[in-house]
Amino acid sequence: MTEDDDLERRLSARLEAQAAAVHASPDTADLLGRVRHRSRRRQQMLGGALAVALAAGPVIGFQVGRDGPNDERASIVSDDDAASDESGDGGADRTTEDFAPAGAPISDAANRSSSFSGDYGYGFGYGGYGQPMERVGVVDSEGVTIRLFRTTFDTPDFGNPTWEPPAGCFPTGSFIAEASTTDMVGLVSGETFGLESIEGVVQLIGHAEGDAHWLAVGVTAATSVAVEFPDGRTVAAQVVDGVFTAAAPADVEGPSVPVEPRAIVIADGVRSEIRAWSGQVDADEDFYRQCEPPPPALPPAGEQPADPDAARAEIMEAYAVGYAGGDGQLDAFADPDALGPVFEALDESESFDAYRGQIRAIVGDVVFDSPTHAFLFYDLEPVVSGRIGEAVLTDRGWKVANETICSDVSMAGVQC
Amino acid sequence: MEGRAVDRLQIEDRTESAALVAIDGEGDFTGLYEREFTGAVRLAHLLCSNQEVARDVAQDAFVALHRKWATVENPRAYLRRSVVNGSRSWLRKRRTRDTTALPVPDDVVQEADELADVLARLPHRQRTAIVLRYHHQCTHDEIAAAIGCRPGTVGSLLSRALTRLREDLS
Repeated sequence: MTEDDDLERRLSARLEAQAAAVHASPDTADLLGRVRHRSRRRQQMLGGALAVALAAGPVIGFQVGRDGPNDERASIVSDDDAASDESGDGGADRTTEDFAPAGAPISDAANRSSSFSGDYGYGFGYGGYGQPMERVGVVDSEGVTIRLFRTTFDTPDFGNPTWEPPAGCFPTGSFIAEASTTDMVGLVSGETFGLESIEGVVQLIGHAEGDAHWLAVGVTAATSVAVEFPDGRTVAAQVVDGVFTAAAPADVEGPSVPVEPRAIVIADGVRSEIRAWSGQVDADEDFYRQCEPPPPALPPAGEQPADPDAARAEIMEAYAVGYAGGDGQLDAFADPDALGPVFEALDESESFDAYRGQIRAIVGDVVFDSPTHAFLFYDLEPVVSGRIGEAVLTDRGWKVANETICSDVSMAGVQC
Repeated sequence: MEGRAVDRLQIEDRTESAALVAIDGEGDFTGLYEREFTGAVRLAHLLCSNQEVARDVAQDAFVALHRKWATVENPRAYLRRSVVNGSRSWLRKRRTRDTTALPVPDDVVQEADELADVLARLPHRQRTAIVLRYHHQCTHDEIAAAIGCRPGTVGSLLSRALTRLREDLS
């Protein structure tokens, strides 16, 4: 008996023993109760949905418009409607989170950008791009207790490994300051863009509660920071792990508040202006044009392998097998040992559910930039096309570069 | 539903009665329920390691099957997929509340078994593939239908699961 046979025999025996220990009898009364409950609940849900649709149609329409057409959270979904689909999903009771969009596994910079602003992800969710905020520390400034949070975003996947956007195009992280006194609470947040200048925000908080304060927060590499607030008061800022913050009572009277407050941050003697929003790239259209990924292009060809046609065929085979998900999948990659846990995580990824078992990699043009390395165009049918991947020559032949599969699975929320 | 007259569940409501199809013979929902219920609970238990939850998942799977009874071509396959999905749904919710690893069997008296422990630590899809293959003797096509993947992926799932089991047991 081989080692494999023995393990399989033990598995069967173990599972049989475990199953045999479970005793359960059919309970038709309970089943009937559940059927009736579902039936009533379905009618109630449909009735409720109809009433809401009649009464609040315009509001929902606005919400759908704001969230975008793919955001199912704006839809009214019956518990039983979803449970009754052909997927056989009708198991446990559903909650709202079950109906939340799984999220397309393939996203690009534009998707990330819209998700960022539309979901208020960094502000109230305390995380951006799905990444949680890290608590930096708690400080006291002019009698205001301030809790600081910060996160750094992963670099968006632009589907083109040969292109990097200039600093200032896309957020690289975010920060939050929660401030409170006995009479007010306030929250100020902003984004970082990887700029060399001070990146911060200043806002008025507590005005409506009669305890108005200026609150400045941002990131800096400086160790000595002071903030000159709009009414001229200068306060030494506290710096914790690269995040500075300062607060000061605000001389603001009446209902009006400054529309566009500005403050001066003096960081290690260098003065910079911050405003009520972050991302101060005072740039023109020419700058933002640089933020658009160029049309994907393969780099120039270099020294060729001995038999380019045979190499190209091996690469196409590796991509086909590597993305098909069957036997031998791991062997299609340059460093398979590093990918076992990655595919296990992908197996569990909810955001990949909608595409599981459907992905096919189709290789297009291949350019060898060296005898052992190639760039290539490939499509991941049916979800995305025109991606640029890499292939490397190993002692097992041409294989898919790990960087390529890692880039792909990252779009399903799985990290290598 | 005319012609499907035998209502062994004695439903009073005509709508529910019409929906609660009960046919004598092989096509009998009630008969299938009585035949398959224990197996469905056992499958759910092997996947989520909680007998109370397993019973709940199985019952709800039959509720779902009942609603689709008139149109489902392969009730057993539908039931199997419902149980797999219901178990996974419960595990996800449990994982949301509790970030610990997958549960080890907690409510079935059994001997301490290293194999059971490492099985419980497998990712859900791998564990499901193992259970369906080595306990239910399902084919790769049947497993693929239950999990919702390509048949080719089943081989990969099983291979990775067995590799991990061997590593954990060694």
